[in-house]
Parts: sequence; structure tokens; C-alpha cells
Amino acid sequence: MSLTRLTSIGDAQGRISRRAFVRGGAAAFGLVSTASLLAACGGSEQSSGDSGAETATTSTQETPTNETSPTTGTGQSTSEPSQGGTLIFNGGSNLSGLDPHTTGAVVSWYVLDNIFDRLVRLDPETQEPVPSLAERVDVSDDNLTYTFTLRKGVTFHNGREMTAADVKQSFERIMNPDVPAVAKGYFAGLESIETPDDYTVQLVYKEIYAPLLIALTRLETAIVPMEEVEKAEWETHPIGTGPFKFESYIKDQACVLVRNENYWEPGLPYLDRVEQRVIPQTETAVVNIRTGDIHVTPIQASDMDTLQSEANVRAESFTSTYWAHVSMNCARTPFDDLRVRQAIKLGINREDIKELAFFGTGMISNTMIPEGNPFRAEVDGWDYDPERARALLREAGLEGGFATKMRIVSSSPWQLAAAQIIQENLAELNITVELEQIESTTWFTEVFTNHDYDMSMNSHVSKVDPDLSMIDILHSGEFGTKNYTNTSDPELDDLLVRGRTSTDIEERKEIYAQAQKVFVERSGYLVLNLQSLPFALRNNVQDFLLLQTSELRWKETWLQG
Amino acid sequence: MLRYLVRRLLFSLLVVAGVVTLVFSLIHLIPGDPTAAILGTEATPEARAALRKDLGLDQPLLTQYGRWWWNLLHGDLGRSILVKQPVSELILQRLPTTVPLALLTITIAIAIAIPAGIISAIRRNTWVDAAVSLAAFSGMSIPDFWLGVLLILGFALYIPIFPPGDYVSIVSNPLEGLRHLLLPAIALGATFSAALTRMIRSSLLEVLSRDYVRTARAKGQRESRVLLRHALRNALIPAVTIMGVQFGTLLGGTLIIEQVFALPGLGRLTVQAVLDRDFPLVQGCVIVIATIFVFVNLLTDLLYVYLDPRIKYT
Repeated sequence: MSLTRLTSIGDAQGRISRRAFVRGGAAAFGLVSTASLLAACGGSEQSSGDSGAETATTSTQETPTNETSPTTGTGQSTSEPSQGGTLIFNGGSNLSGLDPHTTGAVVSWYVLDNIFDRLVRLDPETQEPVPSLAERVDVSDDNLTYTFTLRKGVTFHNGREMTAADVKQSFERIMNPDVPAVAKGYFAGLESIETPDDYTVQLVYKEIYAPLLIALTRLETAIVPMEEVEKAEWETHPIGTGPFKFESYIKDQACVLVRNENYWEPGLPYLDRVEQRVIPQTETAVVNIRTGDIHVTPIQASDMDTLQSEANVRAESFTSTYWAHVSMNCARTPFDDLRVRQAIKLGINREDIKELAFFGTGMISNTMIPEGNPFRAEVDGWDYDPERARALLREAGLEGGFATKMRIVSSSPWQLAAAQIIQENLAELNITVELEQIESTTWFTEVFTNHDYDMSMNSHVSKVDPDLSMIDILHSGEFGTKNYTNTSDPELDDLLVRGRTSTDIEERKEIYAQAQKVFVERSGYLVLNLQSLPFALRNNVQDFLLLQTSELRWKETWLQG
Repeated sequence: MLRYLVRRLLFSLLVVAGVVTLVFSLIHLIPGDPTAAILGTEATPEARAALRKDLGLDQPLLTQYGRWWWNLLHGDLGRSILVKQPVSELILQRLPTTVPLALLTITIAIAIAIPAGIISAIRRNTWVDAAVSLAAFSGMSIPDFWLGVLLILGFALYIPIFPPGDYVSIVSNPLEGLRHLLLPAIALGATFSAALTRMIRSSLLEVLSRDYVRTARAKGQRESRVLLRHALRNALIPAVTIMGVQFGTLLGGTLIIEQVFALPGLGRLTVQAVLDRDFPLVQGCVIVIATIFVFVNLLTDLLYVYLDPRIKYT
């Protein structure tokens, strides 16, 4: 079987050729890129002319998509970046851990995404995987063998060169049952890892796993130096190949990163130091950014107005992959009745929630997949319609209503407001909702693990590949490791499995479009809002890059003046 | 006196042990464990179970409890589950923030309360008294975190003389460190000084009406000497009681103020540890705070002996 060369992912140096901001407008460009991409797939830019085996994640350097980079309104991306400086960033909360394989909290990701590289990384404009530690990726005709050609001369922060053995050992660590690694699921179908030479790694799968390349862009598949992992200091001092080295972390104070002089991308990073501080109160953070004591901070939507008039600060809203939702436990009455679920979805006024709980930010959507993602399907859904809701309840014999409890997370800025609106809305359908505020940790234990709830709320993160966003929360069988709504729909199960084993992009799109339709119509979830993350930045911060996936890249950021 | 001290110390140990046991039980009774905080959104039930086993949290509670005490007796407070650093190290890192903050707060509170209390007592029922009372009641009513935010807005943003939070170690840079602690200490001290002012005022009024004060005046002593040498010392006794008890509230108050001013203090460490269910860290913090509190109360009781020679402990 010959190895078919995919159209090369990235140029010889593997650099993303332009710096770009991620903004709300990126959605439009994403759609344009997608359209061009579709044209490319159908066409023959590929040197081999083979049109059979395409993964959904093909990116072609030759297509005209790359010229449509989103520029900022202030024209910042046209000046020359200056070297040096310390950037101070408010992470908002303490890190949950420093091991890239086992940590699941975004605040830790902000730090670790800059200390560790992966084989491939996500291009912020096209949402495609592009070369990172791997210079080239070749996929076999049968889509079961992925061959990664590694970049030479990449060194870990301890000075040692990264080789194929490191990749193999990193993945073996992830698969090790004694290590609580979050990426285990990605390698479930892996048959073997071969390292024919020091710079080549081959992953051989037993069955087609379409989301693999997207999965390998994620932090949890970072390449780590095993000799450091085995030391006791690993837990307090991470060592990777990334643009920044870890210097120190003092809880409630700051995590300090310093420039990696020997980073494999020449000239980068620009900053000398990044300090991630912990200022939990947004009021304090807002004052700090106004005085210039910090450069970047997440803020609440309600703070955006305050900062509009501030001369040296700009407030921006970044699209994210967070989708805020209401969840219903399908294993409990009366939520096991489809009509009841649909009635509740119809009875909730999402416009009000967007205005009052999200301060007008974000986007109402029926599907959880955000705009800009090629797999997003526009599914008709649950526009506020209390009349229809009442009719459905009548059909289900619950015209008189019923009483239920909703458990919400007390530390969330939007949940209480949204829950109160829902309480009012559902009261009109004679449904009495009792609100119970619980801690985040309690939510994880009781709602997420024990499925002990009637209704709940939270925000999940979708990932670029729809399989990674959907299967773990919706599959009723072995793949549904996070299916706490107890969704059990045979059609959905079938679609999700087919989606992950198909590699034809058109076919996958159809499959997932149908899957999203079922999700919207029948699951226990109602998507309330595709959240935007508001940030405040000092005006001298240039080329700030926060991807939609919440990956924060300091590599190309620089301070002006 | 010595017997008294020994008895008190033993009793204090018992109290601390009791507090630790109570907290241990409570924190294990509420749902949740540190795996949720560590794994975040990737916390599948399997991952959590694996991590729990890894951390030794699947052991019976009594075993965990026993092991913790055994380690404590060997001087080992264990390691934080989330941060992986030794608990003792984490706590020691926080003391240079919280201790100076508490001391500065008490100093400011006393510096305000004693003169204010005296003035409002001797100028009883005049406008001065009313003004002081108004200030005192405002201080007691305003929530300290709100006052903190107001102070930041006022004196860090609009009139930039103080930094808006952040931290400079008072050990390495005393003047700068003090500057960073002043606004938080004022925010925290406002409530404290208000209560103290009222206490001193009423206690002083009571003492000033006593016979021996009349005698001192009759003997021709200057009013200031009567006040400071005779009356105040006795008036301070109930105030000292208040301070000892309020110290507990003060420890709790630092927690909120530390959040507002983003100070890396002991209170914040404790609350975050509880929210994360970082069991060893919670227990370590609780034992330190309980010990401080018990010690302060002991000091307060001993202070009485100095203030009031009639009091003797046996």
C-alpha cells in the first residue's frame, strides 16, 4: 500500500505566515475559507490527484483562502513587532495543575499552551491543523496509518533534542492506565506506534478515527520529556518545547514564564516574560487595567461599557467554543417524555436570557457548534412559543404542570440570572422550578458523576471536530463517557459512530448535520448561548491571540512602545 | 499562675484537636473531591476514579484521618493535592501577608478607636459625640468588601497614591509592602474600630462615674491624668475582651479583603482549598488558624492580669 501524500500541511518552515487576531468577524472568514476549501477538495490542487482519502482536516497552502486574514480595525498588525518586555495577564483563578496530560482547566491551559507544543497546531483562521513539531503528515490510503515527519533541532527546555522516541513515550504515557490522562479516548483505537527512525513516528489505527489530527492539536497530547516526567519536580516545574519556559508558580500570586531563547521558530517569541496573575474579583482587575498594572484581563460583559471610555484600554469580545445550556435528566420523569422536554425548550425565552444574563453578548443557537466551524448546521428549533409548549404538555397529560428542581453553579456569573428567567417562563406553563445553587465541585460530583439531578445548567466546551464535541456527551454506550443527561437515542448513536469512522468530508458533514438535528430535537440539552468571552487589553498589547478553542498563544504577542 | 498556664495550654491543645476533627469530618461530608478541580471539564467518571485512587482518597476515612495525625506528630503537614507543594511551605508563604495585615488592621483600629472613644465619652451628648457615633455606625454597617472596592477606586484610580491590590512582600521591601497593605487594612479596620470605639466610649463613661474617679478629681489631679492614669486603664478591660473575640472575625475578614485586593494571604488560601476540596491544605490551614486564635485568646486572658491587679489566676 503506498503512502499517499496529503497536500502538504504548511510550508517548509511550518510557520503560519501571518499574525492574526481572533475576533467575532473571524466567523465570516471561516465561512469563506470553508467555501474555498470545499472547492479545493473537489478540485485537484493535490499533487497526486487522489481524491479518495481525505480527512476533514485537510488544509492546502495553495488555495486562495489564506489571503483573507481578519485584520483589526486599528491596523495594528502592520507595524513591526518589538522585542522584549513583560506582559502581565490576569488569569482570574489559580492553576489546577501543571501537567499537560492530566489538567482540564482553562486557566492552566493559558500557561501550559505556551510551555508545550504538539505534533500539529490549529490555524486560527482556517481551524485546520497545521505543522508544529511535525513538519509533515502523511496519511495512508486506508486512513489507518498516520506518518509524522518530525522537525529536526527542536530542543526541550532542558537542552535535549526532541526525537521520535519522545513522541512515542508521550503517547504511551497517555495510554498508561495508571495515569489519569484526559486524552486516553483519542488513542482507544490505536494499534501501534512505530518509530522507524529518530524523526519519524507512525501511528497505526485499527479502525478509522477521523478526528485524530484535530485531537493532536490539543494540549492534552503534548510532547513531554519522559526523563523529566519521572522526576518529583515534574509536578511543580513543567518542561516542554514551547516558546516560553516555566520559571515559577506561587499560588494566588503569579505564574511566571520566561522566553525560550532556543525556540524552534526563529525570532519568536517577542516577549521576555509573561506573568499570569491571580486577581479573582473583576472589579479589582478592571481597576488594575485602568492604572496599567496589568495588560490583559478577562472581564464581565457588564464591564465592557465602563471601559469603552477608557483611553488606554480596549475591550474586545472573543468568540469561544463555550456553549451555555440547560440540561434535563432524561432518565427521570417527566423528562423521559420527549414532549415534556420539547415543551420546556419551547417555553424558555432565550432572547431575554441573552439580554439579561449575558448582557447582550454571545449568540443564540440551537446547535452547540459555533459559527465558523464547517460542520455547523443551521437547525430550526426552539423559538420561544409558550402556546405550542402548552399544547405539548397537554398531549403528555401534564397540563396541570409539575414541580421540579434545577441545580445551578453558584460561582457562575450568568447562571442565576438565566435560571430566574427560566423559573418565570416555566411558571407560565404551571411548572414550578425550585432553584438550588451548588458549588462547582459539588456539581461535578452530584450532577456530572452521579446523575443526581432533574434540571441543571452549565457551559461545555465544544472542540473543532464535531466528534470530539458530541460523542462523549451523547452516546449511550461505551463512547458516552460524559453522558450525564442519560441520552439514549439509537439513531444518534449510529450517526455518531459513523461520523467518527468516516473520512469523506462531505459524508461527515451530512452525518453530523443529521446528528445536530437529533441533538436539537430530542436530547436533554437546550443550548442557551454560544458564549463570547470579553477581555480588556491595554492598547500597547499587539497581536493578542486567543483562539476560539480558548488556546491562548503568547508566541507572537508584543508590546508597543 | 504557672499551673493555670499549663492547664490552659493543655486545654488549648484539646480545642485545636477538636476543631481539626470537626473540620475533617465536615469537609469529607460535603460532596466532591479534588479530582473535579484538577480534571475540570475532562473529568469523566473513570478519570476521576483513577485519580482518586492515585491520591489515596479511596481509603477509609478513619485511615486517612489517622494517617494525617501520625504525619502531623512527625512534623509533616502533607502536600497540597492541587499545587503539589508541601502544605507547610504554602502556609508559610502566606504568613508574611496575613500577619502584617492583621497587625496593621489592629493598630489602625486601636489608633482610631482610643482617641475617638475618649473624645466621644468626654464630650458626651455634644455634636462631637454624635459625629463619632455616626462614623462608628457607618463603619459597622458598610460591608468591608464594598469599602475595599470604594477605597481602590478612590485612592488607587482617581487619586493614584496607593496600588490597586497586588502584592509586595513586607519582608523584602517594608515601605512598599506597607503601602500595599494600607488600603486593605483600612477597609478591614473600619468595622473593627467602630465596634471598639463604641465599647471604649461606653466603658469609659461607666468608669468615669465611679467613686474613685471622683476622689481623684477631688484630690486635685489634672483631668488628663485622671483620664489616662485612672479611668482608661480600667475602661480598657472590656475593650480587650472585645479585641480578643473580634480577632476571630478579623481572621475571617482578611479572607474577603484578600480576595478584593488580590493579596496572597492565608484566608484566601483556606477558602480556595475548601472550594477545591484540597483536604491536606484545608486541614493544615485550619490547624494554623485555630492555633493562632487560641493563642490570641490566651494572650488576652493574660493581659487582664496586667491591666487589673485584682485578677489572679490559680
